[in-house]
Amino acid sequence: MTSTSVIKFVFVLMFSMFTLSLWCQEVESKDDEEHENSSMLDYGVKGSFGVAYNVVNPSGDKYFGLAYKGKGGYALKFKLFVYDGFFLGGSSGFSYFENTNIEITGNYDKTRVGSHYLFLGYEYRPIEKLAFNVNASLFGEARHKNEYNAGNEAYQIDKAKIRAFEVSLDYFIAPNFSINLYYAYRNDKTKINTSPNLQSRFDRAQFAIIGLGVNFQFGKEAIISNF
Amino acid sequence: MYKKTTLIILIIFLVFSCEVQFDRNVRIEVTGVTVDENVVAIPNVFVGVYTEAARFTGFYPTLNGDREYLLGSSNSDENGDFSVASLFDSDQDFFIFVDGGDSRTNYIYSSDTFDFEPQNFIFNLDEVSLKKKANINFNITRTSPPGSTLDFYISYQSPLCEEVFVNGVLDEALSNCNRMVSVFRTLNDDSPDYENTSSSFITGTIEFGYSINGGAETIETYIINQENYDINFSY
Repeated sequence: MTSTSVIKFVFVLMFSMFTLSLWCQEVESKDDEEHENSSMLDYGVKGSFGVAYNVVNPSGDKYFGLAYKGKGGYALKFKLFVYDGFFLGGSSGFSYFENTNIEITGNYDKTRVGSHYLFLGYEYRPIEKLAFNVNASLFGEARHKNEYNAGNEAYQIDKAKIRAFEVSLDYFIAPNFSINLYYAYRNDKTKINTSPNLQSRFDRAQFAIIGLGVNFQFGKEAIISNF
Repeated sequence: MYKKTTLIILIIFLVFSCEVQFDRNVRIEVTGVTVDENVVAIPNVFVGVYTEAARFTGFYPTLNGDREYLLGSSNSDENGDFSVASLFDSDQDFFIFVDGGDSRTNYIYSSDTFDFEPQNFIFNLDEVSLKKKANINFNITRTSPPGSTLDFYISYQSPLCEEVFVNGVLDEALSNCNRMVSVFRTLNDDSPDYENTSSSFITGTIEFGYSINGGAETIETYIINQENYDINFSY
């Protein structure tokens, strides 16, 4: 099994855990008259899903920092609380870059980085309206599509193991809805094979992401507290 | 099962793909130094890595045939040294072009990379000699009385240089680098004079062999030392 299919598998598993637990709770709640006036979203496993726009900034002295210019991106995310404030989640998204120096990288002018990974994190919620999060990638793979002459005529693919670290802030404007601002640093380990002389230029793909998006919260209990 | 799916997907891609894909997860490095005919460094020489690939639309290659793709390029520095970081393509027509411009000879390193990946991902071209181009102006006139004939040949070095490497080793037979080009002529009453200009390069050798009226053959050799090299001969 490749790491991508592992990710897909875990995504499906988590999604089904979540939906099944929702149905399960829903049936129970019909019998339970005390829970009137509360929406379906307040039952089941606690978590969130969201979408965000990204500003991407290449950094460092590797080929990203030397040649690329960030052209934005977006990400879809979801997370499920496992125990207390600890959560597991998945992120899937694309970041776009323009190549400004082909002498550094080889000849292509655009790069699309598809990133799909799982992360583990912790949420601290000091007041009802605010939540602070930190999370780090567990595993995942990035696929860089380097496009030749800006067209779809020719391209080349590089792969990288994702290493992401993220801090994020949620500001709740409704009980189930928050504005999400985050900063993520990516230090991906590429699979590029090259000469000993160029190795240090191509071994990492480093860039920073500033994201702004919205998160929808659901559920009430962490997975482990249900048992 | 997994392999079968991959295979089917690959076949679908092959049939419907109209895109060219270069080798995944590879950057090669092309190194060397550009020098002139006196082994003095030449700065700012363009070095490009190319591949030729057929473009497919649907199942059939396009009528335009192969297209050249530049995979990477750079220029030599003030010491003539160059290091090109480039994409790589496993292809029958892979080549590295060192551009001498209008006034110097070019150099081509070509290799079938379909089954070949260079050691440590380096193509080391070492010293690439880009010599100053020169013209040979050859002029023969007849001063002797009608009836006399001249058999001659002139051999000179072509400015073209393409070196073909097979698995990283130079194949002399396939290569074509500064080969001798020869012209054979007989001058007689029908065409008593000969005038021609040929392209070669400074430091190139010229061999001129002749015999007058079927006599003994004389061979003269010259080394080109200026951009316009004149050889005037009369018989």
